[in-house]
Amino acid sequence: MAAAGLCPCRALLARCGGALRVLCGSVRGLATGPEMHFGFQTVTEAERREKINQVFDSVAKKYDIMNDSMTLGIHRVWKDILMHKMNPSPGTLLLDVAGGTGDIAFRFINYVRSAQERQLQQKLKHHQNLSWQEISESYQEGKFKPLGDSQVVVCDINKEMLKVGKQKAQHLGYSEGLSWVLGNAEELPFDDDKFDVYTIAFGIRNVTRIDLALQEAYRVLKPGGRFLCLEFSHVSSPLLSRLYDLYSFQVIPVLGEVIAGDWKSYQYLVESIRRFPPQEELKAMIEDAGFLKVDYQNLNSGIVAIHSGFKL
Amino acid sequence: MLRGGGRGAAAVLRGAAAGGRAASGGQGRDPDPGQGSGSARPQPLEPSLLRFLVCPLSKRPLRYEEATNELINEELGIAYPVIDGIPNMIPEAARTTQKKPPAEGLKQP
Amino acid sequence: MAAAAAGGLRRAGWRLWRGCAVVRCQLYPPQRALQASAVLKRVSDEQKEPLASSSQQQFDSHPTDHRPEQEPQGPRPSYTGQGGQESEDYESEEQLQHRILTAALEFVPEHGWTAEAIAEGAKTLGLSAAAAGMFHSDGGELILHFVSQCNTKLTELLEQEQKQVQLGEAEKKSTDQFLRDAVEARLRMLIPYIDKWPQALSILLLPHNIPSSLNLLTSMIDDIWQYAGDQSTDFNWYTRRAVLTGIYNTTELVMMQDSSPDFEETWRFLENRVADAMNMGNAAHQVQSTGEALVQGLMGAAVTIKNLAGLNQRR
Repeated sequence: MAAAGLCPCRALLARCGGALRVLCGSVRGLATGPEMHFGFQTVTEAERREKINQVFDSVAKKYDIMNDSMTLGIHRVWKDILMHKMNPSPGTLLLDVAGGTGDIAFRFINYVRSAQERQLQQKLKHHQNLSWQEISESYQEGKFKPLGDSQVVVCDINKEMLKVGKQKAQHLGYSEGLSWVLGNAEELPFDDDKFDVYTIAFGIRNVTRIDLALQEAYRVLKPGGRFLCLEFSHVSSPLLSRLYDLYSFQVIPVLGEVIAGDWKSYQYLVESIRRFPPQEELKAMIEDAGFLKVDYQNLNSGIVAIHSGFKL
Repeated sequence: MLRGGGRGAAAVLRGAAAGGRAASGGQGRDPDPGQGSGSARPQPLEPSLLRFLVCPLSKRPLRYEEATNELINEELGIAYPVIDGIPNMIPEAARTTQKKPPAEGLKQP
Repeated sequence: MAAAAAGGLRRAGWRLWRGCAVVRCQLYPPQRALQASAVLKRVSDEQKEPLASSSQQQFDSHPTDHRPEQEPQGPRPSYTGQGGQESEDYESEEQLQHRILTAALEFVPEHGWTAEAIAEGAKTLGLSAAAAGMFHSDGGELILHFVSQCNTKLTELLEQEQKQVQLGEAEKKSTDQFLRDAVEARLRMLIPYIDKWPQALSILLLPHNIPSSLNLLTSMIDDIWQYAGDQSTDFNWYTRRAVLTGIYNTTELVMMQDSSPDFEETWRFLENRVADAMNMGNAAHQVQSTGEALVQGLMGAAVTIKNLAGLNQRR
């Protein structure tokens, strides 16, 4: 395939990519002109949306398997760490954007369920002199509201991903407190000041206008609400960086072809990771949207980073 | 009847778009169940969602129309379909609900 | 619409300016501090307005029903607008954090010194419970905030007493009486939270909290000595610190296990310890070794507390 021949060029590009990125960063900021990047190609905004849509249409069914094989299962740990950082209490309203296959949503439900159980136990311990009646009532209440009013809305722009997610939910038995919406992160169909937490896990690099998505995130969050973004980012150490490049460009597309029968989509995925702004730049963009106390946490020396901000 | 026709036309358009995407995607997929047969087994919208959803364009509240399983924005005159219980809130997918009154057309010279 | 356009322009302007990387870092902190806190612009219209960094906005209409307490005690830095007028609701992130922690204190008896208490506190201020994510999940910041508040209250109390003495309204106390009263006053502030205090102490012993908690402790002890104004004893400065720290910590421990009415036994214990300390001063060479013994006592006390509270380290 042509891609094989392009590999050495890509290595070169990867090195120039650093310099290019800085330029593109400022250019991107100056004028969001029609020229955008799709991986390492340059396309118009409309084309980019369409191409990304195609990518996810085709990868949707094998998305989870590919995640496991690409990241050797570590993506689960990353998502667990995100949930731990979020530490949601019962009654939290979560909006999971670009969360098509539901990974974050399911983890949220599990977390809140166990938090609710723990709270119930604490309450019973706290009140020493309860009658049998009262104890059985509170257990019943626990059964009626296992999630304690918590809710998660999964919003994705791609129908296929949502379908896969919904099927998974049925299969795993998640029904309560879970909703699915087809929507665009740049134009969220939600009212202002509604959600406690907004997450976007491995989705923000596919958004065409990141600044719009961040502004929308700010809009739909309640005052005091939290923005959390889990995304591939830039590796700090040069040795790790080289190994990572090798793995990304040589191994992942091959895996994509073997497992999903789709080399090109995974080529795009890898390239989009390289093109995504580094930690500090994303932090600045988040601050621009109005978030305060913005910070990031590198996981695995920067292969992945969790950015967090608050609407205060 | 008009609404049914409109829906059919919209469904056909959507089908064409989906078909186009499928061709370039290059993968065998199930045909979009929202076409035509959507009316046969409409999955209702979850009521809890209604308190969050607004029109993505104008951010104004929507009215849920059970008969057609759509979310209607009266002001802009557009309706968002609900397919398989998932509301499709992409502006491009919405259809307009404006109907031109026939009397006006006759009056035009 | 115009507001949105202005917002868009401002953001484009921001990015342009960011292209000049050098000036960026220096200007960032003051710019951030000047941004209005959206919490205070709770009217939904105002939220859509751009956060003005170059022009301060006058918040004439702001709902005050959410905030139970108006201004915090003590001087508040004021941000003056172009008209030279103060915007009372302008506050920095830190002030907001202080407000949340203060509001969280009332939930401590029920939830303990935890992130849940902080979440409840945030909710009373009209914020989402997710705002508790700003703080460390072990609740250490809540405890440190409380300790710092107590220390401030103690300082004010001692200041007042000193003024009264200077004005001749009250008699100057003897050193041991002064120390006893000061420590008792400070320990009494723990009474509303006494059930959960062992938990608090164990959290303060976590490695990342030790520097701050030690800091607060030593500055409080130094304050007490300063107001005691004692010139007569033979202690040198470090020994004074160690002695009083030892007295304070051991009394605190005793208090936690005291079930007598109004903690009588604790105050009696305190009286004895202070008396011992005063007597020690007579034999100067004994002081040093006692100082060491006190430090060992402190360490032992720490271990006791850890065991008492069964160090809550689920996370």
